[in-house]
Amino acid sequence: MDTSSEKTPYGLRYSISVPSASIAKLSPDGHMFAVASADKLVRIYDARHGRLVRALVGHTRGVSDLCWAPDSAHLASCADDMTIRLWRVEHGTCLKVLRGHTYHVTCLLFNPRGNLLISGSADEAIRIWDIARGKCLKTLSAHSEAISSIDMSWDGTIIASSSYDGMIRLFDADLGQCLKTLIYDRGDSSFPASYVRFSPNGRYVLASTFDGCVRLWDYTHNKVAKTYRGLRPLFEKYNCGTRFVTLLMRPMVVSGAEDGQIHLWDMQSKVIVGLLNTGSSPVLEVDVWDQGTVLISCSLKGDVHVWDLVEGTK
Amino acid sequence: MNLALLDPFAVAQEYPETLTQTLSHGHSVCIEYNNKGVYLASGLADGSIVIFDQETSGVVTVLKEHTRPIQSLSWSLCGRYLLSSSRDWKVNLWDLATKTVLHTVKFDGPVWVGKLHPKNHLLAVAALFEDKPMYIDFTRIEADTPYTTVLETLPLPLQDEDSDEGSRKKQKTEKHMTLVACFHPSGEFVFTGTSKGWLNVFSTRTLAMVYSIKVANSNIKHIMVSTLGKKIGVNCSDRVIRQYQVRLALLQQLDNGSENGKHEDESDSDSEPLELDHKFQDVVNKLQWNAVSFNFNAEYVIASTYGSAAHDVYMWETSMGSLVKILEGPKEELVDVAWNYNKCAISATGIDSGTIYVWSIVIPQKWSALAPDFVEIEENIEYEESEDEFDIVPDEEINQRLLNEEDEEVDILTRETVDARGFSMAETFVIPVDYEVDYGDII
Repeated sequence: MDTSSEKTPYGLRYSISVPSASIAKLSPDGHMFAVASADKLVRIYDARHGRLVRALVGHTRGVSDLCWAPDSAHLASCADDMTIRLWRVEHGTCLKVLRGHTYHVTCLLFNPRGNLLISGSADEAIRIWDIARGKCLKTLSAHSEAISSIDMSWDGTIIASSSYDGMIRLFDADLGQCLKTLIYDRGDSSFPASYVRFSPNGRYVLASTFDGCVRLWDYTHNKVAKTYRGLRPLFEKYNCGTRFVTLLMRPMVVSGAEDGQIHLWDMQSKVIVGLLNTGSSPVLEVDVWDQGTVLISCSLKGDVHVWDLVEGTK
Repeated sequence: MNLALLDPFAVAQEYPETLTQTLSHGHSVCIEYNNKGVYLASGLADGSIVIFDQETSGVVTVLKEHTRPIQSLSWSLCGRYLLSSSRDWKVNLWDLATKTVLHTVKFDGPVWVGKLHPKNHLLAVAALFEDKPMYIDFTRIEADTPYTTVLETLPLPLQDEDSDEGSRKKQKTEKHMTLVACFHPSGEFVFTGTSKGWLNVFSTRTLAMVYSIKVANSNIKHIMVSTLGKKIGVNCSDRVIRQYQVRLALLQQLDNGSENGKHEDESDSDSEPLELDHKFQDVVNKLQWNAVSFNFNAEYVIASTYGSAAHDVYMWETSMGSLVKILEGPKEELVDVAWNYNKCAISATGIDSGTIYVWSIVIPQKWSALAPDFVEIEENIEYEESEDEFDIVPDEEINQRLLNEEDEEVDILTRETVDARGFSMAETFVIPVDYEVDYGDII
């Protein structure tokens, strides 16, 4: 497996250091990326050179997640101050503050049409917000521990959530009902679920658990279709993001890991096809743009790496 | 995609039964769902048009230009354009990407109905108050006004022959006023209804009348063509809704025939292009009907009832013509009705309050969804212990077995194209969300 890291499909464009960063996400148009930090700020960078464009000031505690609106001109962020803020990126103006969660808001998501925000919180609830009116439409309380991550199917009808209670649940976005529950339990205990991601067609769910594996679930049949492992357990303590890279002939699964290496697997064969070294600090988030042309990672130490897909890796 | 995971019996229901919601923003007089059932356009008595988002039940945008009550609304297939007609004598074509009026046509009187061509948003038809219906071509703009053509009811090509019947018809049609107009979903024909109960069919190719049929002796108030174009519902003042079967091939024959000058003798063809299927009426109460609407495959037809004593929506099944359901709930007369195909919901506007009432399917929570090993059973099952239930199998062995099962190829890319109800899942136009506006202030 050491040989595979030599022909890694990604080349580093640049890396920058952002104080106490936790999440980095590329804008839908690919021109910018935003970094959420524990120092209460959301920073906007231009993606080409990694220059700081603007800082969004307003949260009173550490920012834990952010999400770009489909128009790339607005973004939403959520923080430990229990609020969600909607920002206009161009002037850094805070347009709305959504209050309702009773504890740290941990994860945030726009629906594909850009009219709803979905948030997960350490208060164990998922809320669906009508952005236009700034009010909470639904509260989904079906987990018994903090929500670690949420995602939505491409058509915006299913919400997937992972929680430290070990469950991955699917909800109907319209009705707010729980549609499905997935638990990976071998023996008697289940491990906390730390990250969840829908496949591009929405028929599979990629879920990370603290037994150090990423699993691709065929949720209609309640079974694990693929298990992705590293040489060591990938993560046991931190939420490390996952993504699909679908640009190549053979799709890949990307995940951050606590050893500071971004793992790339061949989606079908589960073989590691690349390891991107970002240092020794856990990689908390990875994000891709344009099916994987650009990859961005953010580590616990605050290092943001921007990678380009190497030409001819097809 | 959510439908596949819900209770299949609930999803398979063909019509809604429960009043679940009311939408209120101004005094709504007419409503129309877009093709995907995502947006509901509501025309107000003050001339504004409100677009509701079905997902949030909130207002997406308010379009203000008309100064008199809206008469009708019509969405383009793509969902980006909306045609509105109003009593202020105008027909507006709106572009919802910019939320502005793209084109305006001003007529010499109020507009009863304006409908967009089902396939081309730059063509439309309008029925005018005490005037002939107009065919509007938005591609030809002359002096800032889109080009309009009168759909002449005279001379009737079919009735030019000097048969007695033809001349009698001719005399009658002279006094006719066209009250309603609508397109066939193919876009090849326009149906219009007159004050004397004549249903006329025009070819959109030649803009000439190709067929005409006397439906009743009273006003035609409303025409509804089913989405698939097989059935047409005609609502007349004589308290009867008549359902006709449309034989498109015969209409096409007539259309081609009229151009070549070879008029087919009506008596020769054994079947008419429009044939009466059923008459829907309330024999006991003799109710008048305000508006009619088909569901997607035209298996059901709904109608709102006229009169202050009636507050219901009647639903008939169209193959046998029997009444299947009366939707109740509101405490006022209902005017316009619309069917949301994709969500299987029915909406109706109240005459007094201008509120929109929505009936939808109530889907119960599936309790088995809350844990992976829960199963919903109809009755108790005698549990039988399987042979290997308490066998101790080493973890490694289980893990290995599970890993071996993972060799199957998975497809993470191919999207489903139709949902569990059979509707296309293709992405359509989304009205841009204006994050800057505080919609709390609009109301």
